[in-house]
Amino acid sequence: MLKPKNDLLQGTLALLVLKTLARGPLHGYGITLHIQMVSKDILRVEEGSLYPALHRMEQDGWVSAEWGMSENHRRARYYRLTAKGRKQLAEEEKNWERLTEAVAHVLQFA
Amino acid sequence: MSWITRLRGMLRRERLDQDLDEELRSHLEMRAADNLVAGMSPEEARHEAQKRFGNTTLLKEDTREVDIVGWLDEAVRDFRHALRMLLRNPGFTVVAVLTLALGIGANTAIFSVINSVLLRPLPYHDPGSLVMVWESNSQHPNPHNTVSPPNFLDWQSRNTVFSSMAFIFDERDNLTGNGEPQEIVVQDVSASFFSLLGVDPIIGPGFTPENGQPGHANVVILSYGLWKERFAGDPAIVGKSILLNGHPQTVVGVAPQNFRWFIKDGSLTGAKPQMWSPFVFPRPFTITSRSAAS
Repeated sequence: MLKPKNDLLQGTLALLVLKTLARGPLHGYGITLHIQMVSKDILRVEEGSLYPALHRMEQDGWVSAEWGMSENHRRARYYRLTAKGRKQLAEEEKNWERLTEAVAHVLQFA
Repeated sequence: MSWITRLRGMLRRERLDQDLDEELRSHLEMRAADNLVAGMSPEEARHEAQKRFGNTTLLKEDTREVDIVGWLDEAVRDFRHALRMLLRNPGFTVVAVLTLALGIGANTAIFSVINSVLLRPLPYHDPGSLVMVWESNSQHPNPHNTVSPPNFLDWQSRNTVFSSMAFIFDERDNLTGNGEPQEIVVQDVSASFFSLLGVDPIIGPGFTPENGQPGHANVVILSYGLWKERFAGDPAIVGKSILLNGHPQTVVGVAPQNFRWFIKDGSLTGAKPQMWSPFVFPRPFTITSRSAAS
């Protein structure tokens, strides 16, 4: 997961972050860790794209943020999914499925 | 993010920057800590973590840009939405705009009037204790009738209400000499008129009580406007002679620029005075007092 210039990739980042947060509030580092781990190291979120995206989502009202204490007693900013964010997640998941289906169909049609 | 939060964010720019700094720093430290656990040396750990961040400055700028642009975006969107809604309800919009226009217009008009009439201070000393007194005739439709000189004198000497009273009577007279003949409005006043009002002429001695006596009353005070227009603001005007209805009068003063006296009720000319002249009460009236009063 590299340059955020590509709209598709940027949209996917939002989807991944929203899905990650659906499991519970996390700080930025935790989000990157989770995605990296679950995707078996294939998807590595760059901080350069993560934080602008997180702040954008906060502006749009999909996530809310507040300061909290991390596991090793460090102050960190935790992001939490809002109701609006949950709705957005469901919609993005649906779009993603439709998109991948469509791509698969085109690829199968050889 | 509610608009309140955004507004607060705009106002606490620095605080937000500090927050972002701290957030990024804690992220970096957590990664460095994990790197340490994974077996890297402290310098390696930190270096790798920093590398992951890439260009921190760019990152911060991008994030900050999102904050600001997002706010602006939202604001513009809200504004456009409001405009669309208004256009979709033309009836309501027209009513609202008209109401606003009427309200603002009326308010402005009323304020201008009140400002010039009430709020601007009257150019007299202690205007709050000045009172205009008219004679009232129940038979006559106009309740503000000019009082006759003998009655005025009675009022002046026998009243227990006023510390001093002055008499005002205006008329049109012909001013000749020093140029074209001109008809001007002259106010005949008690010699004490100006001192009662606490107004001193800007040049010249003004009226003295003596000017109320016959033979000493051929003096006048010019209004500031008349002095500027007809006499070109001549600084040596005091002592000069002018002809009023053919009678020579000596100029003894010029009234201040902001001095004005205009009371329509009881005014014969209904116009602003350009000159003041002391009124001489005819002798017989100063001796006896009349009983007929209203």
